[in-house]
Amino acid sequence: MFFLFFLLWLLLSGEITVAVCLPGAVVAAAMTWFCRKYMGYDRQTLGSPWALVRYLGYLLVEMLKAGLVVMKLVYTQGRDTEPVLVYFHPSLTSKTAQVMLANSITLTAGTITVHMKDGTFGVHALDASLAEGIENSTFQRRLEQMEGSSWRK
Amino acid sequence: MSILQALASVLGLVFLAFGLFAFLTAVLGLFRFDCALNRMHAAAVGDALGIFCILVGLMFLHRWSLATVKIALIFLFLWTTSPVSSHLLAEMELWTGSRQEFEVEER
Amino acid sequence: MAQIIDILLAGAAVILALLMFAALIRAILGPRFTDRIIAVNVINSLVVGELVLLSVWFQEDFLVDVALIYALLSFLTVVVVSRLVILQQGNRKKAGHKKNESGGR
Repeated sequence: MFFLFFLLWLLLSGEITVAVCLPGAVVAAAMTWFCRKYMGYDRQTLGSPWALVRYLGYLLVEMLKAGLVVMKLVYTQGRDTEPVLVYFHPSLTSKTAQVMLANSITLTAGTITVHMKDGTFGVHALDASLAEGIENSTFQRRLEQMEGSSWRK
Repeated sequence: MSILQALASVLGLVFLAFGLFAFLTAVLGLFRFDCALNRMHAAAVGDALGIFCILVGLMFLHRWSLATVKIALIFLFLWTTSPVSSHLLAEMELWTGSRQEFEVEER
Repeated sequence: MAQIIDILLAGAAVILALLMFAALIRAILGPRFTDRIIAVNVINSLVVGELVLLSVWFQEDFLVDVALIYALLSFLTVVVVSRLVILQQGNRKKAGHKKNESGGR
């Protein structure tokens, strides 16, 4: 976390000198302390970094495919779509995995998570064909695998 | 101008054109769908696909400097925030809207 | 080659501006306030794209920083507005329940 903030500082200032690095280190340390104390940040991460990168790559491919499908729907169907709202209970236990599943569903065009409380998800889909198999998606299986191999930084 | 640079320019222009097309679809979807939740799906296409393709295209066109990394930072940031904002918008629509224009399923 | 790229970039900027205008019309027409906020959200993403495009066209790096701050601020506006509306709606619902209970007695 500290290194992430420090890298961001260096990126935004654009040069590496002592006069830039020293305040950057101080600010990054202060931000890390603030996140620990008030934002509830803990060191637990989900899965190994490599699994996370692979998950993000899969998310990118899925996003492009879903975007093309929705673009086709816009041109061919217009107002004739059948929107549905599906409620389901995923079997993920940790909060991080649940939030990541919700964000992945929202980022994939055509489906939006509208309700998420106590492990119940409400997903609004643009067309009934997009909502098929939403309660048992590949995202969820991958996140379950990553939950199994939780990794401590 | 070397051949590599020309290739990068052409690739950048192709990405830029596709991003513009995605945004065109998003705005067209804003006009063609009739209920706010459906419109939000069209807006999500522009948010996710359109801005990604436009920024990747411009990264290719930009001469190599720190600004290229900053463009990557912009779309990383947009990807982490756009689900949050669309989730809040959808929740707001459900809280305030009275019309039910979709069927509800329980699985 | 550089000239062709400049002309194409100018065309792309004009298309983005026209799309922004169309989204603005949608924001004015929108029957409910959520439609307007969605249209404004689309306009914000378009503006970010346009700013980065201008920075490539004019070869100015500082416009990328402006785009970064703009993205941050647009996210903040949407979150603040929707949080406020949800909170207000929750309070109103609670008040309505209380009124119903007292009316029932």
